[in-house]
Amino acid sequence: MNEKKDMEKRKADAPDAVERTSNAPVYIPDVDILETNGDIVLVADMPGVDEKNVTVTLEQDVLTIEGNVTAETPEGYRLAHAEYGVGDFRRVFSLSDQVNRDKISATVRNGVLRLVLPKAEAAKPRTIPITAG
Amino acid sequence: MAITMKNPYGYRSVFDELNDAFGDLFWGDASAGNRFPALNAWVSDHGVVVDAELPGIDPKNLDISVVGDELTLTGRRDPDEAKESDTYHRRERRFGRFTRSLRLPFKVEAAKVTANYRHGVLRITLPRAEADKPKRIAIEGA
Repeated sequence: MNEKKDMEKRKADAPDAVERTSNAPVYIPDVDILETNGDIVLVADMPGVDEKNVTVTLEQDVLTIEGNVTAETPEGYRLAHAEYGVGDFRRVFSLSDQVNRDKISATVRNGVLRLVLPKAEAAKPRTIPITAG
Repeated sequence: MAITMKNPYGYRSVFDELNDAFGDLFWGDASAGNRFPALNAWVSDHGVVVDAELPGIDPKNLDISVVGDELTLTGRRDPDEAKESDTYHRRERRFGRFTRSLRLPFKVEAAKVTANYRHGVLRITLPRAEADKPKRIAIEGA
């Protein structure tokens, strides 16, 4: 049963007590979070979204990614088979202090948002030189 | 059939899915019930439009083929490159091969099928085959 749920687009349940003004559906985008030596990279699947319709906000230590999607129903046709719903995307993360907030970069390509959050200097791994003693 | 939304008209979908239990090689999980990508389809008297959410795909890795009234969509998404030293905190996005077949409510003109991939959504427009269009039969007087 859980497998089926995995494949479905995940609808945001009981939104964080802050409702949107419209009743349109909101979906949770699938996200990969990868930590490299210098950055934290967040990649989110948001099909239907382009760079003009994505908002990334950072407030205190809360990172919010939102994508706005307008359903494009073809004119003159009637819906005959629907396996997924179309709606906006939203996901909220809490960031640790280890991110350099001023250098965050975001790109959108083919419906995929890619956020690169460079680590603050203090968080980067530093190799300690070893001298014979 | 893993249809997650009911046909809004309340009756059974005009589409039949072909038996693609052996074709669903998505992330190595061949169990029936895992249908990827999810498809939405619109129908008119003149044709069919099929939408699929396929974010982050290289169109070169997509293969769309049409035979008569059968549409087959095959493709793959390659994983992002990661070095040995990288660690994943979360890994929810999936990669690999996928294939789906859909039987359309009528035959379509294969030569006139167009596909458009924009913002991660693939839209395939399939005009109905001329030969398959209904023809009015004139009734001769007795």
